[in-house]
Amino acid sequence: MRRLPVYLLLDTSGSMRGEPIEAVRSGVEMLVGMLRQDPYALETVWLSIITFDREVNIALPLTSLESAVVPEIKAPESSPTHLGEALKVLCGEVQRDVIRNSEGSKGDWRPLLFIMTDGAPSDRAQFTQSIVDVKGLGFGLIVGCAAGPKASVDAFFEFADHTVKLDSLDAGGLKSFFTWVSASVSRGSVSQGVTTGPELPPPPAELVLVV
Amino acid sequence: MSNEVSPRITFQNDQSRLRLARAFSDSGIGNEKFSNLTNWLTRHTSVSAAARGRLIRAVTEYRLKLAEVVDLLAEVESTLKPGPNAYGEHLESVSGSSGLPANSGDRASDSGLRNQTVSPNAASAVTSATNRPSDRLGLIAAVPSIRPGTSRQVNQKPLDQKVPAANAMATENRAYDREGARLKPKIMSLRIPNANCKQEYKLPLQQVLEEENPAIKFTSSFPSGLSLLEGSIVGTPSTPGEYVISWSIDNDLGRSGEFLLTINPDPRSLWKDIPSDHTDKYFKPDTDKALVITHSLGIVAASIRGRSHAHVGSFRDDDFRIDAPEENDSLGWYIVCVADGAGSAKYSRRGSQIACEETVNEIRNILRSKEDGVAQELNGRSMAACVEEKSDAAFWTRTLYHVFATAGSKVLSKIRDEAESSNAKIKDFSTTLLVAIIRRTQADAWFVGTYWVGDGAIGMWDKSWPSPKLFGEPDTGEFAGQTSFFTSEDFSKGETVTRRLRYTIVNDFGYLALMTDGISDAKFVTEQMLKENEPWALFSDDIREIISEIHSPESNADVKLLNWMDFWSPGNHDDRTLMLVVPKKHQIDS
Repeated sequence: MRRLPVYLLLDTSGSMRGEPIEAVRSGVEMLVGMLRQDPYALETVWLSIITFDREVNIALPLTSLESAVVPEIKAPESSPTHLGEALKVLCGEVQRDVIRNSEGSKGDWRPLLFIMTDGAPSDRAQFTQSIVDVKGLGFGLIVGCAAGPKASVDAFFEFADHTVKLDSLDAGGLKSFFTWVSASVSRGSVSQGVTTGPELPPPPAELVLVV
Repeated sequence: MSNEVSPRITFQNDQSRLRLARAFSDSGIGNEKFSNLTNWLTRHTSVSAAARGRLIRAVTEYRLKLAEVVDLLAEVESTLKPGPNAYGEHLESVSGSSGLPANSGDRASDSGLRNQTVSPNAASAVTSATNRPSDRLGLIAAVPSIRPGTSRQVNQKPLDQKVPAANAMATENRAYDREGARLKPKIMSLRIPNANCKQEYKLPLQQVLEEENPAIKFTSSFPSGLSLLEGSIVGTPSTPGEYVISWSIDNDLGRSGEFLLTINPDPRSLWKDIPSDHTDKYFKPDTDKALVITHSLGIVAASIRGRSHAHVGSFRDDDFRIDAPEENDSLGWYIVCVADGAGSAKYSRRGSQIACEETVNEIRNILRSKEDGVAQELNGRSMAACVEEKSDAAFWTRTLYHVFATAGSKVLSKIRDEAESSNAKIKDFSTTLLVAIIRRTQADAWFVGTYWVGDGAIGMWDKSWPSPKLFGEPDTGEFAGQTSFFTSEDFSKGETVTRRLRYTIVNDFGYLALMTDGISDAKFVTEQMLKENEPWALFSDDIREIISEIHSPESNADVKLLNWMDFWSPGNHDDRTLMLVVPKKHQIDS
C-alpha cells in the first residue's frame, strides 16, 4: 500500500503561548478529524507532527491516520524559533521513515510538508544549511504559513512551494489554515504529478497566498 | 456554604469577554446562552481552575455543546462544594444572589487549594488546558477567598503533595478538602487507542489504568458494539465518532474520569460514486469491457474507474484496445494495448485513448505494408518461427524496434496534434503504454513482441513454468506515482526504445496479462514480486474462473472480469485495467 506521508512543523515558541497555541492544538484536532472523514486520506495518510521552539520535539512520529492520537502541543514560557533545527530533525525523520521505490518495496507518495510559524528562524545559520537538505528530499509540496503580525514570509520564500500569510493568530484564522491543509492533503496524491506537486485548493479568505 | 474554599474566576477585562464570546459564537453555541454563562461566571460563584480549564478547552475545541460544558462545571463544582449548587440553577438565575463580591478573592492566600489543579506530569492529550488556563482566553483565576471562621481550618491544612503516577496520557485534577484529606481526584481524561468501525477492538483496562483488576464502574454507555468483558473493552464498534466514556473506580483512591475514544469510519462507507460528466468533450464511460474469441485465442479485457476518481466524479484515465485478425487474414497478427493516463494530467484520459487506438492502427498498417521491408522481414520470419529461433536476438530486436518506433512516433505526433487543437500541451495527455503483438507460427509456436513504457506490467504465466516471463521493468521513480510516459518518449533515441522491447517464442502458455498499475500495485505490490512465481500463482488462482470461462460457448468472461476487478484493496484506488490473452485449448485449471 502506498502511503502519503504528511509532516506538520508547528512553531511553539514563547510568542505562541496562550490562545494561539490552544488554537493550533484544536486546529490539529480538527485537521485530523476532517481527514478521517476522507476515505482517501483514511487509507493513505500517515501523519507526523514536529514542534519547535528552543527545542525540537517529535510530538507525533509518522503514524497512520487511523491510529494517530493528537499529541499535546505546548509552548514554553519564552523561547526562540529554531526552525533551522526543526528542519534538520525533519530531514532525519523523512530519510528514515519515507519509503522510496525499490525492487522489494513499494514507494510512498511524495511527502507533503506544512510549516506554521509566527516569527522568523532565530537559528539563521542552521536554517540556511537545513533548507538545502530539505530541498533534496523530494517533497511533493512544501507550504509555509506565516501566522500573525510578526511572522516573516521571507524565510519561506527560500524553500517553500507556496507561502500563505495569516494576519492574526486567533482561533478563527488558524482554524481556516488547518481546514485548508486538510483540503490540500485530501487532494494530495490524487493530483500529485511526477515532476510537479499536487495542485492546491484555493485558500480561504483569511489566508493570503503570497507570491 | 463552602464558597469560601473555592477559587473564583473573573474576567480580566472586556476584551477577554469578547474573545470568549467570539469563541462561543464560532462554536455555534449562541450568544444568549453565552451571556448567561459568563454572567454566572463573573458575578456569582466560584469555579475551580480545573473546571475553568475544561471550559476553555471545550470552547476552543468547538466540539462540546453548552450542556456538556455545564455538566463539566457542575461535576467539578460538586466536588468542591457539596450541596445544592447545581450549575443549571445559577444559569437560570443570573441576577440571583449569594455570590461573593467580585474582587474579594484577590487576597492572596497560601491555601492548599491553590494546588488543586497542579498536575506536574500533565501530558494529557485532552485536558492540558488546565495547566495554564489563564493564558488562554485572558481569564484570570482569583486566589481562594477565605471567610472569617473558616480560615483556621484552611490554614491548618497539611498538603499532600504526592500525586499518584499518572498515566502518560492523563491529567488528574486533584482536590483537597478543608482537612487536607485527599478528595477524589477528578476528571482523569485518558485518550485510549483508536478503534475502527467494523473491526474488532480490545483494550485491557489494566493497561490504561495501571491498576490490577480495577473495580471499574461505567457511568455512561458504551458506543454501540463495544462492551466490558473480563476487564477489557471489547467488541466491534459500528458507529464512527468521538466518544467520551465516563467511569469511576470504587476503591480508596476513588479515581474517576473518562475515556476519550475515536472510532474511525470504515473507509468503504465513505467512498462516493459520482458519475463523470458525460457532456465533457473527452468523456469516457466509467467502465469498459471486451471479449474477443478466435479459433486460436481468447482475449478478455476490462477497465474500471478508480475509487479516488469516482469519489470526486472525475474520469477513468485508463484505456485498452484489442485488434484480432479476421478469419481470412493470412498474417494473423493480434495487436493489444493497455494504457494508463497520468492522474495529474488534465486530458490524460484522451491521451490513453489515442495511444491505444492509434497504436493498434499504426502497427496494423505497418505490418500490412508491402513497401515496408523490415516489417516484411518480421512477418516472414515470425510466421515460420519455432522456439529455437528465439536466440536470434539481433534480428528480433531490429525488426521489433522498427515496428514499434515507427508506430510510436506516428502515434505521438497524433497526440501532439490533438494537444495543439485543444490549446493544450502534450504533457496534458500524459499516458503510459503497454503493447503486445502476438501471432501463431506455422511451427505451432507463439510469437510475442512487446513494448512497455511506464508502470503496470506485461507478464506471461504457465503453471508448468518455474517462473513467470515479465516483459520488461516497470518504470518507477523514487516515489509512488512517478513513472515515465509514452508521451515523453524520444523515438529518435534508439537506446530508450530498445530498452522497452521484449519478445518471446513459446510452444504454449497459460495466459499473457497486460495490466495497469491499478492491478499490479494491488496484486503484486512490488517489482520484485512481479518477477517471482508465487505471486503469479496466487494471481492465477484469483482469475481462474475468468480464464476457464473465456472459451466456453456462452462465455461472459468480460462481465466476470469486470465484476472481479472491483475487489477491495485498501490504499489501492487507482483506475484498473486488465487484459488476458489465453490460447484456446489451454485452461490453467489442473
